[in-house]
Amino acid sequence: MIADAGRPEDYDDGAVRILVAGGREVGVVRWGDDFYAVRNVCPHQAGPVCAGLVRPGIVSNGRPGELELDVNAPILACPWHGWEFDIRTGKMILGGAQAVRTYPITIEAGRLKIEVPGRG
Amino acid sequence: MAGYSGLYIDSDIHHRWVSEKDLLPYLSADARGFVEGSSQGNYPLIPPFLMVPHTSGLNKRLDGFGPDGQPPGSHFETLRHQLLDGTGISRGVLSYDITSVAALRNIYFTAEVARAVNDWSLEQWIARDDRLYGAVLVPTALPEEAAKEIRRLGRHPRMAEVILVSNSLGKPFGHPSYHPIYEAAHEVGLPVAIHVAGDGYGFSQISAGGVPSTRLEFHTVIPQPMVHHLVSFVTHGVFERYPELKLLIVEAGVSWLPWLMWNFDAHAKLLRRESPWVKRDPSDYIRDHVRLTTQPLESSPRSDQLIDLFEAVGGVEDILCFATDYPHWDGDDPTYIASRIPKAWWPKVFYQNALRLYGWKEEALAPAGAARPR
Repeated sequence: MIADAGRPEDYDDGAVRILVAGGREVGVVRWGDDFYAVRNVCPHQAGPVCAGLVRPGIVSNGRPGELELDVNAPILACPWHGWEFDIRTGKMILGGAQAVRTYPITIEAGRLKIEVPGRG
Repeated sequence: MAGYSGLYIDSDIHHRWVSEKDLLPYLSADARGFVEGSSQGNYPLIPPFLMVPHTSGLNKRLDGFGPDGQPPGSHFETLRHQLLDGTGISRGVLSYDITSVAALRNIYFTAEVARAVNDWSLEQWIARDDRLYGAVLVPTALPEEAAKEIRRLGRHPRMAEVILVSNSLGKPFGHPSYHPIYEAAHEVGLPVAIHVAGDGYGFSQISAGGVPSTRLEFHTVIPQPMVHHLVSFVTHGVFERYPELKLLIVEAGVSWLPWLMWNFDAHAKLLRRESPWVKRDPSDYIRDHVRLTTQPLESSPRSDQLIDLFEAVGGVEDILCFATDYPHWDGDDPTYIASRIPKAWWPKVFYQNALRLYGWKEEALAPAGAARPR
């Protein structure tokens, strides 16, 4: 089903807004001009992952003490334990085997639309 | 997997005050001067140790703030909603968040502060909910003062344990210098808990190799001193001297226990002559006297791998006591713990071992709380 998530201009950059779509809680994140939709369940202990921090990615050149921010790779960290996920793909940053569920999100006629499976 | 629907006892809940000024009514007029102060430089109730900063800025779950921004663990209604009702905890032991107040450099003032926070905990938290029980926080720098505090409050029906955090004498906790504390706990019939990280309060080393530089380094190695404390309890004969005393190791993990039991027993056979008061295998003392909280249960790639390790020494299901560590960022949800241990262990780990540890009656426990939200 397609769920309406409101107007893009109502979203603050870097903030997460949690709404119910298809019977499940989904967090919508604005990162610059891009939008992402993430299910609000952490694969670790089922914490409310979308209530966590959204921050830029961090890139290392391998030398201790030297790091750079990667603003093109936003990361969502669960508020319970800090497990980190690439918002664009849902995949864990370190360890990789687990992921948060993400959904396609588009802008149609000035409205954000999330495509979620089934349920009404 | 069908979920666990029985009783829960939570052996590690962290509660705190919003502001140090909340403690003023519980301090003597003289001690209040340290907090109120007439100058800008009030004496802070945080000792001059360097805590390793957390990358999120806070070592708490970030949805734990109260409605007006109160720090996680400081707002009763939030704790009740998220923990007591949310997970159906039957009883829980409040073990403080800012335990460093019992590790201040002025050892006489810190004894006063420990008394104050124990009274504050009884009045402001324990009196508000029948499910909440307390821990007697003691000033370990002055073991005789600690013993007085245990005798003052230890027989209160809502006090569940004596809690040691700061290792203020810089000696492993089994050292005879600390025995007045155990004598008093034994006398009033309370178990003694040692909570991890008190070796980082500036009197001893948080880890064996030196001072950690990052939170990852710190967080990975903090169980190390707890292993030493436990070994010292046995080698200094604490359990022979106080035969009914129980020890709860809080928040130090579990998977090191099989290694320790094997090594300790083997070494004791070789070195028995130097401590003849150790009359049994060290692992026997551990099985009879020592309990460990589940949190933080190690994350083996598959849950059966951790259980196989436990089964190699056997009886670990009689040692573990469930704990959430709420509202800390590395806390464990009961559903998660249920998924990591065998179903047959659930009743013992979730409440029966703690019942025996605290000397409580099962029929007095509150029934499981509201329906779990997930």
